[in-house]
Amino acid sequence: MLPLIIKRIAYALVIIAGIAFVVSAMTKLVPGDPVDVMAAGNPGMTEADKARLRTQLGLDRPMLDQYVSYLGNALRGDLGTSLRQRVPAAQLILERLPATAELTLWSMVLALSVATPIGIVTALRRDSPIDTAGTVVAVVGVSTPSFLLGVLLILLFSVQLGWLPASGYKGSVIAAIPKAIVDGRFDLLWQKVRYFLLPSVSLAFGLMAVNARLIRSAMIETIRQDYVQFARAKGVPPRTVVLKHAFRNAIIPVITMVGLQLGNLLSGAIVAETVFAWPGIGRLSVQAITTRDYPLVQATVLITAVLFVGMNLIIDLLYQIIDPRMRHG
Amino acid sequence: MSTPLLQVHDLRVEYASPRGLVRAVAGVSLSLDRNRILGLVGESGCGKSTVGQALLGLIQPPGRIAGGDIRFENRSLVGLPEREMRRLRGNRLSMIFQDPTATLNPVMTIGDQIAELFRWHRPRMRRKEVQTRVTELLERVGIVDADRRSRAYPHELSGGMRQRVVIACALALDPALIVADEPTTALDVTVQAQILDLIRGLQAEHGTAVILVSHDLGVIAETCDDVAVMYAGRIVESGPTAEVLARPRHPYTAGLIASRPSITAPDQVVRPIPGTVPDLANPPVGCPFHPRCVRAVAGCREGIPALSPTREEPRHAVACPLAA
Repeated sequence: MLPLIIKRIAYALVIIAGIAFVVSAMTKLVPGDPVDVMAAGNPGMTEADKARLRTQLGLDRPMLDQYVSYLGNALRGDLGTSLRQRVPAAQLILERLPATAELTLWSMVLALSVATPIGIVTALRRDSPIDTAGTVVAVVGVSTPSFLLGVLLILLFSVQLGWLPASGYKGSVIAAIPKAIVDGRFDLLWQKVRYFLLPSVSLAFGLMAVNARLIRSAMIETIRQDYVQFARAKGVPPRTVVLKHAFRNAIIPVITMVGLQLGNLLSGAIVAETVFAWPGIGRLSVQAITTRDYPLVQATVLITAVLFVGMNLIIDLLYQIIDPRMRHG
Repeated sequence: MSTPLLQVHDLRVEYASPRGLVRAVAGVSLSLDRNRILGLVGESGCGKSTVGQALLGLIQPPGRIAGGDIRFENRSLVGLPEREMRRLRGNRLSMIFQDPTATLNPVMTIGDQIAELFRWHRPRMRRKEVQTRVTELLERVGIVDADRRSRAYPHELSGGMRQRVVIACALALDPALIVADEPTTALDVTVQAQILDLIRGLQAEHGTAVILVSHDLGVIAETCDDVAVMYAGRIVESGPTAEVLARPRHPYTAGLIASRPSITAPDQVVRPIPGTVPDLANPPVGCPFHPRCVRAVAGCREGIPALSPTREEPRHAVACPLAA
């Protein structure tokens, strides 16, 4: 198993090096060059300023040269300096990452904890009224854009009922859990959870619908397998047949999809983060783009790509654990 | 004479389908004593596997047992509450499936899949003892290095080995009856013989009764004491295997034998039975075999012939008035 892990990590590194190349080449993809684009929004910029900026960004050097130094700097943790905020881009991203990561986590936990029972029950009661209801919810869920749901949730729970805050972030829930348990300060925990509820529900709804459908079809496929019938023939009780024999096999294809979804969420749920003023990666990239903060755009693209690759690597390795047939692959 | 281990009387199994009601088993009666092997033979779709599934109470909607009775160890299994039935499954009655690759759960070790039987049927047995029993069972079905193999996953074993594991599951709790549904069909010919030997050997050793479901007359001839030939959900001929195969009375049985290529007489012409198995949602009127029967007369369209003993050998029964 160990050599396989090393192989996967090596692949991931190659992919990341490729991404870094694309990111460093981004400066070539803009008509003119980034400095011209920045100058367009900055009438006070002189030719001398532009030249200085070009040297600073290394735009006057050959492309390969730029790539090598970009990669070298990135490996040392230097992703350039934000032009607007005058602080290292890496630092800005690190400040924003926890909020996005935690929103991702809770959205997925919420989505899967609803999707799993719905997926299993609708598969077992196929073509029953429950299944039809599940289908309706899924279609609605898949076709509701998260920003629309977000706005509706804000209107109902913040504006009309006044139960939950409309936007903002008051720190990590996970970090508040130990204190809540040790000191009994559940009030402090709730203060943080309140801010998570609406954004994670608006992100989880669509994921819940997709995953419930995915789990349903995977379960329908597995429960007609011989090994499920064989488990019944051995006198195994129905609950165990479904959960241990069928479900463990059914989640294998679902995991791939969940991995991709996690990668997507981690790279910043741009729309949801904007709607709920969530200080995450998504909003940071929007800000970087609108302010033409070139190094910051590059840094956010590189980091979200690395997160995506990392997520897929984790899923790959998870496969080896869940599916013994993959261990020799 | 004591009561037989298993008595099936007029068993009927139906499936609701979009094309109408499919009578997969349309009144099957049979009886089986301890220490005997009964072969159920017939073409695909004749209902032979369905009979096996019905015995273990494994008929699932849209199918249902529509009538008849199954008496096993002096109790009726039809209408038995699911909880009670579950206590018998794997314990007093067990099953060997056709394709060992599909029968074993790919994400569980084979040891765990055998141990599961002890877990549910012998909940007081200690973990350590279960492990010992699993190893013993694997050795009994001819798996070497059993202790280590019990930690293997199904994909790490060959097809024949997997079927041995399935047999180990079927034997684990020393059941009174094993239903073996085409246990060798998915295996190589050389492995087939080994598996049949194994089943026969273990059966003789434990006095277990076996119902061997197969479409292969060769397998039946080699293994079974008695045989029941099924056609369109009914038994059309039954009796001691040697007698039935040597002197088939029903035209269908004769047809099955004639359509088997022979190795010893390769020049002999294989004569397949013309036509195809009838649509069980819409079976022919009268004897279900008459549209394909070479000896059919006008009377064959009227009434379904009952299985009745032949004059020469009372244990040999046939459902054809022309043959009795």
